[in-house]
Amino acid sequence: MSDAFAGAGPQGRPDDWHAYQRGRPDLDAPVDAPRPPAEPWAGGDSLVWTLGAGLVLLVVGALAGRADVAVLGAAPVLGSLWALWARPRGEAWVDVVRTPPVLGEPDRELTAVLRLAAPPGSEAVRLRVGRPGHAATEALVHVPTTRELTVRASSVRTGRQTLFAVDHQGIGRGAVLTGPAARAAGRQVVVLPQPREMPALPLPARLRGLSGQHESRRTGDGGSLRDVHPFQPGDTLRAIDWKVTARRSPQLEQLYVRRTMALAEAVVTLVVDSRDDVGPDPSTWSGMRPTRPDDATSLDLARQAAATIARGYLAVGDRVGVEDLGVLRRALRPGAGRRQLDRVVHQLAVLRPQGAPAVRLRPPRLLTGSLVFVFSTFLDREAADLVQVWARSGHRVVAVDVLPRLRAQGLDARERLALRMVRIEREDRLADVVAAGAELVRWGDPEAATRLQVMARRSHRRPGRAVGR
Amino acid sequence: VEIELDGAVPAAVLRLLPALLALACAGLVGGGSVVRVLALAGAVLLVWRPDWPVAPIMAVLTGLWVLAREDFAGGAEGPWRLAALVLVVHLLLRSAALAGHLSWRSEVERAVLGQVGRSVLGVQLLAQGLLLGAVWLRSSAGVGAGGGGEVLRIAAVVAVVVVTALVVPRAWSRR
Repeated sequence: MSDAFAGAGPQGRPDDWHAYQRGRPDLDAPVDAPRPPAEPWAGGDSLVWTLGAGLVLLVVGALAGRADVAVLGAAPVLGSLWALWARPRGEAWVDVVRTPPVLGEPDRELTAVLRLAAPPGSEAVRLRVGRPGHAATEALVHVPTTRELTVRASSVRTGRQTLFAVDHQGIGRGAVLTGPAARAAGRQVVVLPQPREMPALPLPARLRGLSGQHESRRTGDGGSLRDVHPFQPGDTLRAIDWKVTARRSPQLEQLYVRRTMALAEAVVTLVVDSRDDVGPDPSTWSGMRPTRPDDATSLDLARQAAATIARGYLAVGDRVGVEDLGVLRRALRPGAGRRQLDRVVHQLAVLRPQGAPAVRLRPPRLLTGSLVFVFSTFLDREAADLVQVWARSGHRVVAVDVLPRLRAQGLDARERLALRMVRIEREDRLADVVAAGAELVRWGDPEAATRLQVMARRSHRRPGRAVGR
Repeated sequence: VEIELDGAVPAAVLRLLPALLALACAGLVGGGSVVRVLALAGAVLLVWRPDWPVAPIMAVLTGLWVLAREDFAGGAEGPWRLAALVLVVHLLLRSAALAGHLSWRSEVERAVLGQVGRSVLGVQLLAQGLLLGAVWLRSSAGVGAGGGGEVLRIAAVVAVVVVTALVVPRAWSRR
């Protein structure tokens, strides 16, 4: 800092002033660059009235020769003068930074750190912290030039979320001076879905490739014993089972080899229906009323379900891709590995309804033999029709119903009637889906994980075959 | 939304504090039902609209009531009562100014209250020192008890001139 600004702090405490300058976020200039001193805070009505009352008492007491009256005005006058002399320069600053969630723990609240900076001479900073769906909270906090405060709000929502908006104003000594009020607008952050543990998952009708963690029905290397077979051209000599050969062909007229199962990988496509995002309260479906932040919407459930399933498959080396029914382009090609999980989770987090979706003339193209998970509310026909098309074309399809458990309390008679009709139509669609050969899992039910495990056990009993409905 | 604060006091306590201090002020100055009614009305106004200048007006009214009394600081308890009144009036003004920044649902950190308390203490030490000086002058020379206040008047005029010089912005005195 140059000499011209060395004494910029009104208190004559350069250390505090430097700390304040360093703590001011979001400035274009370099952090250590000198900045011109700002205007001192102006005295408000409170200062004028307090100082005026004190002066009146002093003058009246002096003119009347009454020390007991004059001394009553001494403290207000002294306090006001001190506040005037020590009035801060500049303004209070707030920067909101989201705290990353702890991996593996359910993300039930949104936390952020408020980085505060107040000019020297400030007695407190007045804060009003709010975010959509939550009531604002006000506080008067002590800020010794810089400080960090943790803010949290309960929220189970994922995807793009608005972080905390903070209205702030510095308060000078005696609470009779106030700095300029400012607002740190709530930033948009992407809240990633937290995948759950899933012990077992079903396998597709056909496994692909020559490597992986699953045993296919083909003969190959790496798997468990398939059979003992007479030696054929192409078999390696290391595969000859000499004990079996000696037992079955003592004269060595025929050699026998041990054949093993080939290993293969599963290809899983997660088809997420991002065209609607509805909460458990049907009265919010029109969009006129906001969904409560502690209510998980259908897209939140879809994100969590898809992330859980993606994690389960990617952990054993399978390939997972993402398709979005809300857009016509492919969202994410199938891939494997830890980084693919990050890509899948991020892709799921940024899915959201984007206006009226374009009309889809043909279903998204899927890899042959891929296992298809369709995450939808099935409130309209499109997702159900696609499920039926894929099931009839030979894919193993799991329809994951992500409609939250609905709350019908508070609905009037007409709304109840409308909800009943919607439910009837939806149940018909789901019945058609099951009739077409797809399997149905309701993610909102507690038995969803159990249902998936049962499906996994059936399919693992006969590797590579789609079994069990 | 929840803010992690290092010990917080509900603002409702601080919103009620000026009213209690106003009633305490009325109790200290004594007087009849008029004073009590005025104090009660002021207390209600302080709770309802702390941003209104009720506290400074009550401080001035308190001073005028003391002025109307013949010898407020006289007697054995007079100086103590005056010392308490100086403290209560100062606290009333400070707490009312602070309450003007608070809504009913907000919270105040204890560190803020500690800082307010320290600043009040510093100013009070000076004010009570002045009070001690006034009591000493009164007891030794009879100044300030209604007669022989020339010294105080001169000191007060000098003080007013100094205060005015400090308060008035310097730009006003430049051509």
